[in-house]
Amino acid sequence: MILTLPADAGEPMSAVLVADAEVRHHKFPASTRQIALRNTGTNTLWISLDERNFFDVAVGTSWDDRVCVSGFWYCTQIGATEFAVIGLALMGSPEGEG
Amino acid sequence: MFSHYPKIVSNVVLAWVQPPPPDVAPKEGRPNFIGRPFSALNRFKAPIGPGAVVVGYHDAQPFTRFYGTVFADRALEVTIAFSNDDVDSDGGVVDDNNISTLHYDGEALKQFYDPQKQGPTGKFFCTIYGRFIRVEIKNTGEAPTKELRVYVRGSVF
Repeated sequence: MILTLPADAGEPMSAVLVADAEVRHHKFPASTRQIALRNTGTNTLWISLDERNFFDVAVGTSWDDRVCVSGFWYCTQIGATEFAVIGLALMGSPEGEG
Repeated sequence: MFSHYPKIVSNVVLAWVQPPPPDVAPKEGRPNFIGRPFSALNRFKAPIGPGAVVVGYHDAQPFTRFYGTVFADRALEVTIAFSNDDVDSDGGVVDDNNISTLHYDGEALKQFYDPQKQGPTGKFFCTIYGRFIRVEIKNTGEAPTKELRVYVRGSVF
């Protein structure tokens, strides 16, 4: 396959979401190769990649990692908080290449 | 990878604005600069009558200091207090339903707002003394509020 893009490139899948006390699931249109998110609100954001283990993203901070998932779960302990997320889709081989 | 250097765009922790401004949709093709509609942040529900009190709660943990301004056509007593309870009296985790039942033992500020002295009484600043913040507004005037603007903002530095 002729490599025409950086190895870590991918189609962006962006969303702006609001988390509150209810645990919600965000499903990406395709599996990711990387996720980056930023807590732009005023409450701590709790994120889980497996619906069981949650970690926190403090107000005004971001989190990113190279993970292959179809979605994630999110909530807050108190109140609501907005956050922006960008998932990078796994790149497929362009037709005619490879 | 985590970024531990916080910088926030939205920092309105609590707000009471009377009359409430209408929500206006973001312009097409432009960023949503204010995030959630202001009506989602505005705690104002009805004019505060003489002697009546309104209260708001918020997690204080994300911030190091709180600041804001007060304006009203009536005299107000604004009290900011903090709780250091990590759990409620039954040992349960603090959430939106029980945050009002915590012990707010740390009074950080009591401000007597005088509409005739907007300059000296219309602003405040306090540090953080606890895990959760409570802001209480009491109308100490003799008539219901017609205009009210109380903003409490949090600073992460």
